[in-house]
Amino acid sequence: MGLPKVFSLRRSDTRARGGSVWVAGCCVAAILLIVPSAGLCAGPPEIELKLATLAPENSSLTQIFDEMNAELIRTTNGKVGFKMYAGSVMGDEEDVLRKLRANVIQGAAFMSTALTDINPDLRTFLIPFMFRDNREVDYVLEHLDKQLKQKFEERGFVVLGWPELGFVYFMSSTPIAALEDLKGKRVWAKANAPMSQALINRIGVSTVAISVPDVLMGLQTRLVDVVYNSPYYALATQWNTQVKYITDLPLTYIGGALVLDKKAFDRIPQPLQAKVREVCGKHIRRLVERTRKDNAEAMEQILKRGVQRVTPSPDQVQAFKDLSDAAMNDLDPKLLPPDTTKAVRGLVAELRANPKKSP
Amino acid sequence: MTGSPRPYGPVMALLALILISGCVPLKSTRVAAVALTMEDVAKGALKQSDPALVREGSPAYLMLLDGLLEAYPDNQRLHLAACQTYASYAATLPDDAESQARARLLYLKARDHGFRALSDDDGSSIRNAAAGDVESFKVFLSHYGQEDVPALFWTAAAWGGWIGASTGKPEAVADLPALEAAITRSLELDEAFHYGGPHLLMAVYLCSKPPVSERQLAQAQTHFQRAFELGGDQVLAARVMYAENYARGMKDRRLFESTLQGVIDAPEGQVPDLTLSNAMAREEARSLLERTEEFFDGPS
Repeated sequence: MGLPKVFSLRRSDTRARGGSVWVAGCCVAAILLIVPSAGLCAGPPEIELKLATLAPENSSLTQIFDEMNAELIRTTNGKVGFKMYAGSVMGDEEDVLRKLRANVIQGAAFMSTALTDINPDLRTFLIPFMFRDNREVDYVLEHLDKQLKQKFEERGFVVLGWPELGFVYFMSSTPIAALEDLKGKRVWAKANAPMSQALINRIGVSTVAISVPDVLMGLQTRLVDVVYNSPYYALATQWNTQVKYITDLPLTYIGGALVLDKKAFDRIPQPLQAKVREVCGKHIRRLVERTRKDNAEAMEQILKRGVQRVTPSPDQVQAFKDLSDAAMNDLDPKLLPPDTTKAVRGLVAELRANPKKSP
Repeated sequence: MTGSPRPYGPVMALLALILISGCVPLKSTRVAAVALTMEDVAKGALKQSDPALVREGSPAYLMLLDGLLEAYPDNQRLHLAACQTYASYAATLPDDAESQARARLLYLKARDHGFRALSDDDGSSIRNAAAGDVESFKVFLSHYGQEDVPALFWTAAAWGGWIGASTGKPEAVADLPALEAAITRSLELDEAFHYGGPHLLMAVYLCSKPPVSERQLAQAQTHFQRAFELGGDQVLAARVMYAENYARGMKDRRLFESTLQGVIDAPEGQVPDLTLSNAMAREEARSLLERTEEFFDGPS
């Protein structure tokens, strides 16, 4: 009959429960699918690392991970490879982290709470309005790469790359160009997102705490007026059909990491460890490029299908930023390590002062 | 057909249906003597119990259809037949990246034939409407009536296939609301079309629409149950879709296995025109059952 494969976009799963600090998009990262995605190998590699991701089967991530795995198996002559589990087969990020610590699996691609639970330094990347664009993110990541990875290693994890969901934007039923535009509006409050919550508290608007699967209905019924997500996930969840405006101001950057359990990594013979780092690093960079392209195209689609772009003035942007900075000062230093925050701010300022510097 | 490790795509069964309704339009329009012969071929195929034979013959059938469309480019019913056949054939392609890239093009071709079947122009009116905001597209769809259900239904099936084979490309993901609107319209117009086909489309869509929630899966369940009522126990493909989409979504391994085993054990049906569809459904059920570990046995 009719369809089957027709929709291989298959299942999603949102499980935003457990709280993500990595604001909006991630929630939906949880979107979809479930199934272990098929490896390309014939016969398992000698050292097979079980790798989980909440990204759906049939997504950019699983597609590129399949290619990464094929190259890894090929270049190590069949000695090292992954067995992938995509979607929510392993549960949400907390479940996956628990399985990783228990050595049920040996690797995971995280985009949410698990990372900041392991290494709070990463919360500095989540500070609202910290970055203006991808170039600034790349510059900071490049400079802090070693330091961030080192802290992960001290806590038992090897980072093989930094994938991302990208920047999150305000989407709304009335134009939001300035702080004042938020007054009187019902703003979505994503569960367990302390950074954005601190900002929203400062602004003093009323918030609506609903789960990701309820947001679309919340917009339809005007329970909520203002939401935020990456363009790609807004499109995938069809939020764009229920808002009229998108504010052209990157709100928060949402990054991720591909991590391996250090004990499992250490069992790989030394020369092959370098291979694993090299091949995975290369493909994660490809994935980041693809994600950025997808987000840019999604933004085009959102605008093409009837949502209007709102562009705040430089003064309005500064007001958002000042308020956010004040709100971050209220946060517990254990939650948001001041040294790292200072380092990130310093690097961003350095690049802005010397725009010709390349990451 | 291309040789492949997984020769029968989940939807194989599509082919069967496609052929069923493919024949009717041809006869009524009598576009050519060849069309009548094709109709007989299609009818015969439906009663065929050897899916491989039909699978291998499909490309030839498609080429004939293309030839007829060269001669009668404005014939909407031929476009409908082409929509069905291309979509069904695309659904038989295996899951590897290369085949899916090919399937994507075939689904798109199928959808565009569907758009032609739904238009008085070259399909651009509906294409443009679908690419705009979804509320306007719903208004556009409201002008279709009962007689448009076959074209609406098959266009939606092809469209869903294209989105599914597009590995998350934004231009395809952006079409999800329009697809939902098209399925909804076909449901409103004739829920019983093709043994409850519009309910099956909606059910599968709801099992995939991100972010999937338990509430959404419960809605999908309702549509599946209604499709079962409308199709009776005769349509095995519906049960395969239920296992593949709903049972997997619910992570209900027992339901998945028992549903598929039920398909394999089902007695030969009473409807000759479902012979091919059911044979394909059995093949698909076996293939899915073999992959049970992959679907459910993540480390826990």
